[in-house]
Amino acid sequence: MWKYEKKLQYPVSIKKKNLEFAKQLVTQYGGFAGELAAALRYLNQRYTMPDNRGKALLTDIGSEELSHVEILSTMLYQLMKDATPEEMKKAGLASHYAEHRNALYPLDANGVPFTVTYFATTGDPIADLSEDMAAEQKARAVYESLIDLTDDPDIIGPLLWLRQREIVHFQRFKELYEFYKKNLKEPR
Amino acid sequence: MNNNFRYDDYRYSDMEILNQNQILPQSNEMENQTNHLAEPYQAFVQGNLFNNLYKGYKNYRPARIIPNNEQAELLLNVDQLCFVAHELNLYLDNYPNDQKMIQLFNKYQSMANMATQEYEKKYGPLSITSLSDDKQFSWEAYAWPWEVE
Repeated sequence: MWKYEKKLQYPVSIKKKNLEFAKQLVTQYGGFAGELAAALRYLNQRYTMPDNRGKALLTDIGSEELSHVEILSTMLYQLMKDATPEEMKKAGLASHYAEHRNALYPLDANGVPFTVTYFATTGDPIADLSEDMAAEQKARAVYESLIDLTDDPDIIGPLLWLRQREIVHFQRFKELYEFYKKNLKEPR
Repeated sequence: MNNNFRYDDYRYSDMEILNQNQILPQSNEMENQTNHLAEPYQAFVQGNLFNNLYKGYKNYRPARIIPNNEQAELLLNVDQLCFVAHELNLYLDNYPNDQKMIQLFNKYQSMANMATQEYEKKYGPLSITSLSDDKQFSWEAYAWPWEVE
């Protein structure tokens, strides 16, 4: 089970409304390299990990990704807070307003809704961990692109922090991958 | 909830692992991890407890988090100690036999618990299980973390 803590893992305080940026940032919530996909990917893969190392690591990183979903959601909420229909329209978010008003909805930067095909589970620990390592690198790259697209320090701070978490998670997945590669009975 | 629990020795003896008691190889890189650990504040703001793993982007430096009142200061203390304990947790998932890191995890987890209690005494529960005032349902009496002040 999960237990909610009434705080963010990293603080977010965005003072300036920015609908254009929200439209790009949403991809790290609901896109192919987003936090929602990451959380669900790891939490689905953990059941078929061959030992307790894998079960622990995927549970713990998967849970951390849920708190990253909350960080992203908070950023999006603050970027879109109190936006009028007129402002939404100007930022190209008329269709978002029509369907969701100012609510959050997981999409990528092109408006494509979140899909479960973003998280792969093969049941093979080597294949799954390779997927996870790639996912962390893809997320790191997208965070860098997003940092390139803004100059608001209130946005850059959390993005740099989330990017660094991808680096740590990649390292942990790589260690586990190498351990299984060496120690699993059936060579892969 | 009526499972028959087994608490005996099956922690690392799963079916498919070849060397059942094998410790994850401690490569040179992995030796003396304790020498590379950042202090809690620095670890938290840079998003990485391990200085040797830290990789910056372009010439950006991690944002400094400067609390502007007592509540923010106490929360920062909770955040940074929880972060260090969490980083050690992820490390120990892979290296469950690293005694030095186990000791550090115990130390920081207990500091994080104390910091949480200190925060909650003044500024309300961070967790539903912390509710102690039975006259008021204080869970919803304080701001939610996504609200801007």
